[in-house]
Amino acid sequence: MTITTGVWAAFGQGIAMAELSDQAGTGRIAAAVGWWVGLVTRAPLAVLAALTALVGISIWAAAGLEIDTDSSRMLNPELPFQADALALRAAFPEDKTAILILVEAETAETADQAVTQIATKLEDAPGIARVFAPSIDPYLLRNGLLWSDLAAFDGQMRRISQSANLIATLRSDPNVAGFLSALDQARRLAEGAGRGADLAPIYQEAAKVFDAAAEGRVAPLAWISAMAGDAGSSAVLRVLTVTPEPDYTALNPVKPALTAVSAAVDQAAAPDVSIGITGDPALRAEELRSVTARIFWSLALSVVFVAGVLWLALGSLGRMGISLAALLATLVLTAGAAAVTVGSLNLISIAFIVLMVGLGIDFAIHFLAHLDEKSGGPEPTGETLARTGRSLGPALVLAAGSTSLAFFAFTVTDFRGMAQLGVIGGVGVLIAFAVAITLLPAAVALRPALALGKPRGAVPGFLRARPVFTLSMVVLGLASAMIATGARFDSDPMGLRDPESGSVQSFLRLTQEPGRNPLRASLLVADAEEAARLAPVFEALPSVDRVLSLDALIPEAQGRKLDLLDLAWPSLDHAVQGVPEDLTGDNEGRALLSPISLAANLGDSPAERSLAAALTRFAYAATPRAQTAAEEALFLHFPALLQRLSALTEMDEVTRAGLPSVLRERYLSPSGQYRIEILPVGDLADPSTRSSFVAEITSFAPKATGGPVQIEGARGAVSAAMLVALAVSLAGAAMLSGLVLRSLTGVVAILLPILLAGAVCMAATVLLDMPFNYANVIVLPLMIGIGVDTGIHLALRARQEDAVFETATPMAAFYSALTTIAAFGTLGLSHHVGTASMGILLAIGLSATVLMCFALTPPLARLGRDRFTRS
Amino acid sequence: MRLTASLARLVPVLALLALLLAAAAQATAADRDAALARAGALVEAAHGALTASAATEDKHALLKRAIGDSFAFDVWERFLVDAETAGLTPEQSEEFRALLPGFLAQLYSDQFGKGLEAKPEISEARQARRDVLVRAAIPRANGKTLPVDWRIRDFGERGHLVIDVMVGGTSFLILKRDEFDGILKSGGPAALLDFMRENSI
Repeated sequence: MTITTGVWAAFGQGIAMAELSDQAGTGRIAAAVGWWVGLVTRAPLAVLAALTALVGISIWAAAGLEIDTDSSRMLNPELPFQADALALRAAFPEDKTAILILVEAETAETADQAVTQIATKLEDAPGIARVFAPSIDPYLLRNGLLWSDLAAFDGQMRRISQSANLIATLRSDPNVAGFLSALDQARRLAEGAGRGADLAPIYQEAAKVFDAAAEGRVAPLAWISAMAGDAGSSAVLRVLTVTPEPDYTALNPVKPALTAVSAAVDQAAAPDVSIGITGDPALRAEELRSVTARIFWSLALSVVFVAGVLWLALGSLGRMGISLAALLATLVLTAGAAAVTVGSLNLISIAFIVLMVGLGIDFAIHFLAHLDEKSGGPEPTGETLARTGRSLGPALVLAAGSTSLAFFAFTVTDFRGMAQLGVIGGVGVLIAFAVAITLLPAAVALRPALALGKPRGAVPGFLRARPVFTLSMVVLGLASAMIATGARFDSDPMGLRDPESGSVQSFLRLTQEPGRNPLRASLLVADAEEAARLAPVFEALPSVDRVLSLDALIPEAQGRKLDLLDLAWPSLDHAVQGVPEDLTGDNEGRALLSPISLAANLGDSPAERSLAAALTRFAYAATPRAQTAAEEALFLHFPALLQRLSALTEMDEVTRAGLPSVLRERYLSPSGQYRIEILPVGDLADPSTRSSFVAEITSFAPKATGGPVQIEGARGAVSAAMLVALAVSLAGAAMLSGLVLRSLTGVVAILLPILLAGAVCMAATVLLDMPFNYANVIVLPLMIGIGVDTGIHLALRARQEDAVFETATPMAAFYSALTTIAAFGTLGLSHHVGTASMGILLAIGLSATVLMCFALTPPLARLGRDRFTRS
Repeated sequence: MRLTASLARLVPVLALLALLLAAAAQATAADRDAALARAGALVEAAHGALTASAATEDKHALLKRAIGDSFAFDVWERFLVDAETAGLTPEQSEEFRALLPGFLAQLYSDQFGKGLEAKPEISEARQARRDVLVRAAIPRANGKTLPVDWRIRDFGERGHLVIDVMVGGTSFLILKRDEFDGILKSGGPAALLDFMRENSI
């Protein structure tokens, strides 16, 4: 009872004292903070014990925090483009979980060897539901050629026919002499038909073989590439699609599949094969790794920086210790609050860890700096602490209010990623304030020596609002405003990710392949008829390359191709199982044909000249090693060719019913919905191409969805969210400043520097080619919230004191900003482009804010005070 | 008991399946016989024409008739030249059609008319998708034989006709198509018709 009475009596006394000294209507706030600090100092041990208990509970709660890397969930699912994307995902859930393995090699044989190895390894691997490897799929081996265009199909059939006896000969006589003789026969037959050039791919491949063999190396003849007529062309790319069997009881349901894929890929690694993994699960896993990999380094480094700044600002290990303890308590309590309020973090909200280091320490610095100023007198420590609370309370409350308001401004937007950070950051700032006015007074009450620090220095001379400095900042701000008009927002989530990561590089590699580009639009339709009706409509659009649907999986000109196959079938059969014939009948026996003889027979085409030269070199090398190397190289991939030709003999009409389920299910969902895929002409990584593609598609089909449509939709939603957050932050900052300072000049003194600093930050995005993205888009609203802190401290003190730069406030504001900048700057270490750019832009933005506030706020605030005094 | 009943129900199905298989085998055998007969008639008539003691013009007429009786010219025409893409006028197409039997007769004479002392021998027939390949050993001038496969298709009422000639797995139809394609590309339809006129009996 006595204690309670005493507490309330102190509160009343505090109000009276605050009101006596109040010139800005902040008496009640001052009294409340003073009362609380006084209360804490009366039972410091109990307060610290309660705080420790709270920290313990928070640690337990925070242990359950998860990280969701799905950027598509960062936006309100009720937005129309989000709803369409969710409908597509519900119809075709495998899109989101499919893991893609890209195998690239110089030849089809080498690539397929690796593909076979990976597919075999994954067949019975845990967590894998299905592996689809088109290049070795039995159905596609038989019929895949039907999807090539008519001319390519015809060319391949022709080459097979011309080479049938060559292949049959090599099958029965697999040695160098047999090869030379059979090649010469094929040459003569082809030349007789006036089609000598058709054998050029085989000449090129053979030239590589004999060139290498002459040096004792084995360079395997790429039979399949040569038969396909693409020998010597660019590398062969194969793509395997792995469908995981998600384990929803695990933290990451597709982790077993990703692990199995990584293991299979590691085993198939070879010097002449490049293998990459991509697809949503791989991209997200690597993104998570890139976000978290250095976040703890950033945290550690920011703590070191903050400790360094604290040492400079507070000048005693004890004061540093209690400040860091306050910071640690803030971090843990905020993490606990995050676990309770949002449950899981996303790629943006995870940055709260570092943000809170920067923001959480501010209150401690200001409190201890003020305490230092008020200490040294005869009064008891408890009274000094309460007086500090009363004096500093309004500024601290205002700073906490404005910063948390800036964070809470995010919550009213459709950008859920940002809204989540808003909740955590807003609550975190209030926690930091509460911890500062609780833990610090309690600690000082227990150890009064902590009240005094070392003698304060002064802020650097150039920050002292001299006319030249002020003018330079105004010029810098105005110049930046002009450059800032070029600022843009990059809504492509790929732009956030580490460009060096394997999954991103593989994804970008796929975008270069016209038929495999994952950046495409999709549309769900009710039936096959609607799909057939819409396909030509889309195909007629200038930005559309082609349209894929279930019907489009039926090869074009199939009848004509099957006729050509029919024509070539006996050749195929002869190649695979026929008895080789001596077609020339001129007694030029194969055993007699030497490399030099064949070289002499070859013509003048570049491919023939190249082979002749290689054969001559090979003949002169004449070592057993060269002979062995040539033989090995000629026949290493020969069985694969026979296997492929054998499959071709069973080629048959492709029908919708006969399609492999993995292909059919891409366009027909289990629930009976049909999907149309619309592939673009241009490169959709280019924002203007993407924008016009999406505009064209959605003008015909407003419910079209897919990556590009979502990116464009997100651009609008996030831009709107940023504007709303900016407007709310600005309005809140203006209102708070107006309430405290009660003058328009005062509001201008706080907001103008922030607006100019915003221009500097936007100009930096242009000059550094670091566009706004999902992560760093929070910088501008945050700058307002944090910048208002510095502005309010300086403006209030400038109103109270003429020589504002002689008080503790500029030093505290300077060091507080320095800790924040140092903490944010460490985010720049991240491999994650989004996180790194957020750190860099926050550091630039806050540096600009501090400079602008020091240059402009005191003179403008004093101007307002003079006018206020005169009136 | 239940197993016996199930097996009993399967009997009619199995019997039907056996009947179908037997019918298919019989059809295949009949197809082969007809193809063998066609190939036999062709080599007989062609050899007779090439070795006849008659004037060259008469021999050519006999050979042309032998080819005309045995070849499915519509198939050859369809594969050798795509009139539409090759740009043949209706008149040129008509002439092409008229020249084709003589051209194929000349081809036959050039390729297989060199070792005429011995008569070609038909050795076997085997299935090639929907056609039958009939193997013949054509005597060569050097005393050896050249194995040739006549690709024969059943045209229903028109009977079994030759749609391709294969030597060592190489299709004459494809070889000639390539050759025609080259001529068309370099000289157009007129050059092709000139070439055929020069190389036709």
